[in-house]
Amino acid sequence: MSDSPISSFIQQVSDLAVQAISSFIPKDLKGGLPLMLVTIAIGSYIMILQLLGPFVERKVMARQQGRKGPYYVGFRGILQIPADLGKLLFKEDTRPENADWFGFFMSIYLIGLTSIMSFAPLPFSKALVGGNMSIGILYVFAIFSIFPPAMFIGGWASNSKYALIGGFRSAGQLLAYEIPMFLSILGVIGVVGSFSLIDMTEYQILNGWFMFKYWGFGLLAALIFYVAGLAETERIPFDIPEAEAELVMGPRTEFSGWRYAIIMMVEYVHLTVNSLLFIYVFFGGYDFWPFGKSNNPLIESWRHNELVQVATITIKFFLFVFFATTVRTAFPRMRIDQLLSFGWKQLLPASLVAMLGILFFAGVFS
Amino acid sequence: MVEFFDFFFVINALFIVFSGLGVLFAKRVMQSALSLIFTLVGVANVFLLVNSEYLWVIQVSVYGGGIAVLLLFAGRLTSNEEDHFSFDRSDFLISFLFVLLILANLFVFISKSIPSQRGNIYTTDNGQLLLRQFFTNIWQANQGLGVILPFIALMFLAALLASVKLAIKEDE
Repeated sequence: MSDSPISSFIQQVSDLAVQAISSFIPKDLKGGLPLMLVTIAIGSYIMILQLLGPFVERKVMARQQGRKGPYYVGFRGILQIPADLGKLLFKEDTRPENADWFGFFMSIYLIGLTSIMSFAPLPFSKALVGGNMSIGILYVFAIFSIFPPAMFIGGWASNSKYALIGGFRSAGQLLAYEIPMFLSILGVIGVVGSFSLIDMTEYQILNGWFMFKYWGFGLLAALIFYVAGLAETERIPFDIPEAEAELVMGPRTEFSGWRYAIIMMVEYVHLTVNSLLFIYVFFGGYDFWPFGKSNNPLIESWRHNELVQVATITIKFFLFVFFATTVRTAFPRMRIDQLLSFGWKQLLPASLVAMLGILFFAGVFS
Repeated sequence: MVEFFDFFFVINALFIVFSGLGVLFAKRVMQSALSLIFTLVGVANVFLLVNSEYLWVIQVSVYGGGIAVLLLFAGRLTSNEEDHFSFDRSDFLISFLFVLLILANLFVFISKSIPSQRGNIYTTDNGQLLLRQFFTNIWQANQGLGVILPFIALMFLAALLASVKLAIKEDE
């Protein structure tokens, strides 16, 4: 039956489909289609991680406040987040009267698109990475820098004073904390001599984690990066833009339905990416042994095992979600003037000191 | 079969042209600013085609991020009320024809001055080589320059007159 018209038609259609798919893949790209599939698998894994993030956060926060948290949907409430997502997706799509339609639509697309694009250079093991590009961590920072103007436009387009003031605060805060965040990792980049996150992790496998090195300057840089990362994700104690007692929900006030779902997704994607960046730069990446090269052959063989590396980074990620939740439960919100002066007057000079300290003790100047 | 870079280049070029037109014809200042962000990011993507990733990072983070926020803050903080650009239909038609004329000239000019052998633009690994070739060809195709220069001069003149008009309107 191989030469029947139906089978030849199916053959032609499948040939055409393969040609159409391969036309989107550059010819000089090694691996081609399999690489594309691996990239999609990694992206999906990070999306699942960031879906579990809010569940862990709500559960941990509830325990710290003496409650049970989500409990009834699925086993011990594990399906609560997908249920919330389903509810938001099927809600009516509304837009405030006199809202600017162009800004209202485009800001959400920009915010969602850029947050998902930031997954590309994040490795889950030495081989499992979307794109090990030479710009590495710079790529994530460049993509993140689109977020403040998009959030500002979203706030303005909502035609609401709360959203507009929230947009102003959001843009100001993100700008103030982006600079110390980048300066704090500049020392590490100088020591490793590469922007690639895989190179940074491999350096830490040989020489020990950056957080525990350079006579405390590594720890200082890590603290600055963590605090600035919390401010970048606009979480308590830095959630000034959406301070609910003053501004309802800040720039997010007027968004509902699937747009609100995207905004909440972006919030947790930022938490995920910032936690993962911290892990790669200061906390050993996919390595579990913090003291550099080990004499024990068992440790050496396990730390180079791909599956162990993926498991390590997943456990580390949930550890950082736990930290972020504890900070959220424990600390009160700062004021906007305190926040900006803390960013510009304290974190920025401290990050310069940390950078110079790391470079000095690493022997870059000698 | 369509090459990936051909496809990307055409999509990106259309994106730049339409978002550039959006900057010109948007009715509100903030819409123009948003379109400008799209244009700048689109221009940054051209750097990716010539393997200049660092330039892409600089263009996106400085222009797409920093300068865009500066423009948005300036746009919101310097106006008391919502700015609306008003076009009547004849104005719109004339300016649209004018822009089309300039675009057509640019198209003719660029199609003459890009490297003649098809495929050069993306098979070279060296961005510098490509740029040098481009400017050499511009230098050689000087009759193309003669066609385009008056239009560029006219465009700047129109921009100058428009800004004068806007400045006078604010005083009134």
